[in-house]
Amino acid sequence: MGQNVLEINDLSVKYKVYEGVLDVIPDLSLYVQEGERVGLVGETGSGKTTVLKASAAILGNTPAIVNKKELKVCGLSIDGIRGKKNVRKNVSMIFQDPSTSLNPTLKIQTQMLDILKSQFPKKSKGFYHEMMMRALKSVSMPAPERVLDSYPIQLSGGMRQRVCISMALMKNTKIIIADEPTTALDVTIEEQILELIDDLVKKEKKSLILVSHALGTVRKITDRLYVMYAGQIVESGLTKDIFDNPHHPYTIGLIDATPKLTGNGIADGIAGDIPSYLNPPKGCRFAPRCPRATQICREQAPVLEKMEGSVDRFVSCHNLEVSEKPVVSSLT
Amino acid sequence: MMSNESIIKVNNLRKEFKTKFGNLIAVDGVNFEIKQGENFGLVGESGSGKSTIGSMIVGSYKPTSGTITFFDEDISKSSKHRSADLKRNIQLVFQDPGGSLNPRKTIREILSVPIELYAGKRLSRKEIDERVQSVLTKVGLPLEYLEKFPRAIGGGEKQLVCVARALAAHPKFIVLDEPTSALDVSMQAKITNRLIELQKSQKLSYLFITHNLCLVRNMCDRLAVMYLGNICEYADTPEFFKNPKHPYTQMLLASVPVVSDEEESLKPVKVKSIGEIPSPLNKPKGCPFHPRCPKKTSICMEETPEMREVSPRHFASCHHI
Repeated sequence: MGQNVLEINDLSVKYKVYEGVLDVIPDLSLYVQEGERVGLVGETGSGKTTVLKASAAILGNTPAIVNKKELKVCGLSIDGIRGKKNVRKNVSMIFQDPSTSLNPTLKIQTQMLDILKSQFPKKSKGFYHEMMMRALKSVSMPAPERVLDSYPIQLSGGMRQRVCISMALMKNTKIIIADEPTTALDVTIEEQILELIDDLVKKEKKSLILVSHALGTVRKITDRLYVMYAGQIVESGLTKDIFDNPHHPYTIGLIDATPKLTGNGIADGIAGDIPSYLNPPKGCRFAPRCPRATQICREQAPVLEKMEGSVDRFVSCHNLEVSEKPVVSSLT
Repeated sequence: MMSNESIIKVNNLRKEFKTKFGNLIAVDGVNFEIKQGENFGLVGESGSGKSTIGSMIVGSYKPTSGTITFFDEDISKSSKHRSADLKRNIQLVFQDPGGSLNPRKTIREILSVPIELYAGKRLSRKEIDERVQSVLTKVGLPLEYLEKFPRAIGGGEKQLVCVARALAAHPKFIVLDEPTSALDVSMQAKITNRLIELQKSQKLSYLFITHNLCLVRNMCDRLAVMYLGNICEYADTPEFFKNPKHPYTQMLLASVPVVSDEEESLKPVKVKSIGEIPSPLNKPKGCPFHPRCPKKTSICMEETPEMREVSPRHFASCHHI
């Protein structure tokens, strides 16, 4: 581990929509160190993808209002044309749906060539071909020669995602952002793809940000974890610590609601839905669904505080002292 | 509770689809039996044919060959040729709740359809209303939802409306085709628990189709694993998870992402996932799993293994067990 390759301080994102302003991310800070594998987990609509897009500076075409104190990629700002160049040089992304992130009308070869030409301009055809073959072989693609000459539709979902990963790795970037890379895939293929990403990240000493709504997926390959709820980080710490001993009632509820291989039934899940961003709760955003909520939770938003005597463990909750497992109320 | 009488019996079921590229064998000689009051899980990856089986049971497709029996009645025909009573008894809940509710109708209108259709007589407005309300209460939704449109309620609640619509027909058997895979975990937990409750209170039998092994572990009494149109293993749930026999089942189980070390210890060790499920258009000869199987020998490439009982009430089809 070394210096921070991604540093976000006090980021806020609002979206302007017809009904008003959506206060999606009020105030968020996170960092990723060199060579670190970081997970970002939360349910649908918790703002995970917004954070990613803000850090890759691709919120430009949306009605988003981005405010930040500091957002640095590899120590440099991401603003302006220079900032964009910096992001392009240092960040590559793998998206959720491999079938829509590849152009259906172009052969894989043409699409990969585009990236290579921007990275290594004016090289010979043989050089490009060699690079493409190497990239496809590094993701253990069967029959890479045939894949180069295929259209995306001719490949299976797992193969398309391998192509996307090989394209993300072809550029020599320091940060890889994977936004739900395995959600559209079957479990046996998911296992292979996660292992592949993990191997490549380790071998090339890159930093990984893995975003997922599936707890099991992030547990598999990350070192550190941020749990997000309604645009806020509610708990962060080493992945193992969080899974062994979750503190925030949302994290606890999420882990309990995940069906387990041990059997014994499933806990009833967290009641209610993510609040509307148009008019989010005044105090803690989780309070309306929280089994531990008290008066203070409804009035005052808790801050993300470091837990005493812990390694990098932050929780934002007023009622941490309640030690027994919360009783999760059922759907009313 | 579970009885010994079987509600659905599937015998040597086959379904082929004619495509531009040749015959696609979606289901290739499948046998199983669902007892009354049982919750039977059908697990497999995409393209394994599990949904096709569900569609044949509800009558969306007619089997190419083989039979399906409901109690003693042969129902291997499409829904066009089924009696109203039979259609009422077998209902279906789809994966995507958003796409299976009419966006221009209120929840009340949606739920009235099966009630009016299967009542067998003309009902008065009041009678219909009473039944709609009772079925909505059964799934645990508040009555003010009746006047809402599907777009105004959340994904999980939409799925509950779909369940209510299925229940409105007073069925004996429900096919649940990936009912929770489009939902978040906390909603998934709520829906599955509700489904288990309803099964007990309404004396239903389920065919639960899913790709999620963890969910099946917590929900089903018995399960079958499918691969490329064939069932490769089936057993009672506790036995299945304790002693998975088929190499594919072991691979599947080893790949499941879990959230605790305790579960990690339940997964088979030293099994690595390799390869991908081939296209059903060119199914491998012999055992369909052999290109990915770590235990394969020459016999696997030539002979299709027979389903046999490897331990009491535990069946698997593999040459090497």
